[in-house]
Amino acid sequence: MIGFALVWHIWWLAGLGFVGLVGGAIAHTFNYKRDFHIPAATVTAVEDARTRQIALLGV
Amino acid sequence: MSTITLSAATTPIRFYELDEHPHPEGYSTMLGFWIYLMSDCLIFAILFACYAVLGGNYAAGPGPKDLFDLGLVAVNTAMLLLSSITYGFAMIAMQRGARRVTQLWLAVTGLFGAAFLGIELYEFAHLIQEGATPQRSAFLSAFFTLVGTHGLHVTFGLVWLVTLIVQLGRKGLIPANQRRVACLSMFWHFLDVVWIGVFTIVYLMGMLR
Repeated sequence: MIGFALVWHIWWLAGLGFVGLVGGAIAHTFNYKRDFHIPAATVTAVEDARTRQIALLGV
Repeated sequence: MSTITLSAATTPIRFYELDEHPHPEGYSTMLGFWIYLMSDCLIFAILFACYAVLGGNYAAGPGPKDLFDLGLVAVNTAMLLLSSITYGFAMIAMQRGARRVTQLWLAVTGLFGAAFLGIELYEFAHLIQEGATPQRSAFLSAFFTLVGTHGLHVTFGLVWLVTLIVQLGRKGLIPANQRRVACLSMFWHFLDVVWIGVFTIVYLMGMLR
């Protein structure tokens, strides 16, 4: 939106877009649960299943 | 050419790491923030270099001696230095675990920062009123770019500061918030150091030219 507005000199839209951009970034900082954890066991299981499928295909 | 064949379907070959290694929350924040600060430092280094090259080209227009009011700039510098001290008090309060005091010192820091910005905007308005606009000469282009970029950084620092005061009010001094306050502290002191450079090179040395 900002890119479009800047290219076509629509300054009110560019201003709105910029405020939205910064505001959106700030809104995201209020979300403190940003991380998730995948245990090694899950990774092993998924990868093993995939390896088995590849082996079965005989590629 | 050798080919790798997957022998039996029941015994998969493992080619990935099985050991769990710790990823404590925020363990890389400080490294990342330092990398950001140093890249920001490069921006200012470039702007300082531009100013050093272009700062003497007045195009028969006004020079530093005609434009700068050292008294005003001294007050401005004092505002920013005081804001750094009060930020230090906020950090001490945070380490003591006193949330309200931390918020209070952050608010005081914000007021000093706002005062700095206000004086800078007044100075800019005054310069533009006198016809010393960025278009007037290479010196003024470089001046407005360097000082304006610093002012923009302070503006965003203020937005960050207000956000943090609200977040401290909501969540308290949890590790995530402590990390954020510490990052803003580094940012704020960094801006202070850059301003010392601006004050010395642009204003003091400008008066000597």
